Amino acid sequence: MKSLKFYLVSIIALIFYSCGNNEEISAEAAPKSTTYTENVNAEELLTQLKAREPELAQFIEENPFSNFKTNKGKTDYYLDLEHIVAVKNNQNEAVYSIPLYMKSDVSSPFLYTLSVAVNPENIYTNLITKEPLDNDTFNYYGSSFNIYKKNSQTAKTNLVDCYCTKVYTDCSCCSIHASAGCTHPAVIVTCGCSGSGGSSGYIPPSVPTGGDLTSWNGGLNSPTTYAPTGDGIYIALRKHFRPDYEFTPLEKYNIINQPAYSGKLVDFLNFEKSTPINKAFTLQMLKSMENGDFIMTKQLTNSINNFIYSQKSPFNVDLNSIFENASAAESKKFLEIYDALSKSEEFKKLFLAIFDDNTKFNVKFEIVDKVYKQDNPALEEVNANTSDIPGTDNYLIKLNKKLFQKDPNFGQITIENAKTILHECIHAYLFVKAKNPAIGMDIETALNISYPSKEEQHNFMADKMIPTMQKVLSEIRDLVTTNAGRIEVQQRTIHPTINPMTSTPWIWSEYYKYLSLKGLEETKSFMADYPFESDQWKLFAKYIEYGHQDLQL
Amino acid sequence: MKYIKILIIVLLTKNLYSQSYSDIKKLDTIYIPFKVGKFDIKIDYPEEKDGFKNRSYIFNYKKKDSHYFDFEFKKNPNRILEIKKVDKSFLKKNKKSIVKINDLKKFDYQDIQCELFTRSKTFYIIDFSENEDNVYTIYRVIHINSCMPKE
Repeated sequence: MKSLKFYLVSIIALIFYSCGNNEEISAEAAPKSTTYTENVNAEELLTQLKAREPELAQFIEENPFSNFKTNKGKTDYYLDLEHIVAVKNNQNEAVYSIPLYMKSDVSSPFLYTLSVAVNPENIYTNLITKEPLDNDTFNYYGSSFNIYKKNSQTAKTNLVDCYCTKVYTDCSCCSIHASAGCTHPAVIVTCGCSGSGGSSGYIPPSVPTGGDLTSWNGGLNSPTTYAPTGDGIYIALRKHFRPDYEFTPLEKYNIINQPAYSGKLVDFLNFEKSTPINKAFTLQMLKSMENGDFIMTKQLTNSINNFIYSQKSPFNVDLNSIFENASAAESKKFLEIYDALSKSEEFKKLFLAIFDDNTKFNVKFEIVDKVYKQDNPALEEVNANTSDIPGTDNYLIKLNKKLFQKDPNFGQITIENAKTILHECIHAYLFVKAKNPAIGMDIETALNISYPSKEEQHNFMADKMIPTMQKVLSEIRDLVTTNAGRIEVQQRTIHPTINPMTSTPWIWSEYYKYLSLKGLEETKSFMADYPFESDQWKLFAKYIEYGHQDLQL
Repeated sequence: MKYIKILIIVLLTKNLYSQSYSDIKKLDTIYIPFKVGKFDIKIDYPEEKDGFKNRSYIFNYKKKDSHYFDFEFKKNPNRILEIKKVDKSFLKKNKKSIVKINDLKKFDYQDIQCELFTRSKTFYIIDFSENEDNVYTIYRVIHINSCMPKE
């Protein structure tokens, strides 16, 4: 207790000593201030400790965080020797802060730091517990640290008024803390003072951090902002998870040390809400970060976007190739249409039971320069195709890029593209049903029948699935056409027969039917129902043409 | 000498009376001459709700064959038909853009639908049945396209 008091006094004295001095942050600044902060490697600390505290040196050296997963350590403590920060002064004194993780700490909000204060006479160790607070700051608690105690539960012991954990500041907060609290308007992120909002200053992401130097604006409590530091992100993420869940030490380590990635997870939860499924996905991504699955942040961004679209759609979608080129006009148009389809109850009903909560089936979308019949470049170019990837339960839908452009041969309007994407999704559905008839719902018109082979899918679609397609198109109509276009097309008078001349108004359900049949002209039932040049065929062609002319977005 | 004459006649005939497939494919605007006949008809439809009076120009392409081409008046938002009155000099000037339906017989029907008469082109019908004192009426039309895309 005595040593703790001494320690606290010494650390506060160390901080206080510097009050009023300008902080040196830049290497170019001169002269060097009396107190400063720097990142140090473990070697510097260990060299000092080996001469004076060999047991402590050995303990630190033998329990690096890299041993955490392999369970090689003999104690409960694992030290992150890659991220040691030291506060030093010109009196040859230094306080080293080593991030510490405990195996036994499976579910707590706390972050820990092993503090080693070194001066010419003594060496003091202390375990600092950081408790995240609702005001986006930390409370700091100090407790004695015993390297021989295998399982040292820290909990909250002695509140440390001020403590420098990462970066040094002039600590003006500390000098007035006792009487008036920390009321300074701008603090350079370094010292934590209980309740002061010191070390993990809460700043909006837009504020440039300038390395460790940043300003604390204070008072912000929006869920969409957070300090772009490891600590700041940890606090923000934890807010999304509590009270149901506290991060494991490994998760904490990855959140704190991979801010470029973990920050994206906060953004994801901020924008998509912290629903249980989103939180589960976040934990999954933390696991991927832990496993080193991501080499660049773009991969995590793609995973998040795929998840968002999969959540909104009834099956797992892999849109990586589309996100890779997200700013391209065709990608934007595709995503708009896909969003619209995902809002259709009929679309969801059809695919939900077969794909939802079933990680077995995945549908990958690609927009490519050219799509060929049967994927054979020797054959004709087509709008799109769907294929099953041999030996897997994955399906690949390739869409011709020209569908989304003003291409004379392939360019389509939005509702036509929605139909094409729906048409391809139905191919994927039929692939799954043919292989796994028991999975998912049966469409009403196909009860008690077997699902078709790949070659027969178009016939099946024309025979059995037109009502389903009509319903989906009716549900998304207003999302894929404009009001002006709808008014325009509704002015049309349709003439189902010429001799005798008959007339009807524009009938939307008829349009959906004909649009759904587009692409199925070579099927048996189409040819039987719509013989070429028959009145039925002409009616089909006119509905399609009028829709194309009037419903362009 | 005899063969050369024949060759010249053949080449001349080809140049005078029809364009090649690639020539037509390159055209942005196509003028189609129409004369009422047994297989080529026009149908005037009853007035629509908004006062628009539509018309079809139907070409029965290969006579008894079922393949045909159907063009209708282009319906503009202001409901005003795009009509031009032109004389012979206009036709001469735009000779290369005038495509006779009868000259398309040598091409595949789906190729015409999907490549020659695409939706990106502008179509006009030169209605010779409305010819008055060598002034011809030209109507802006849409082509009821029946290209069958593959999905």
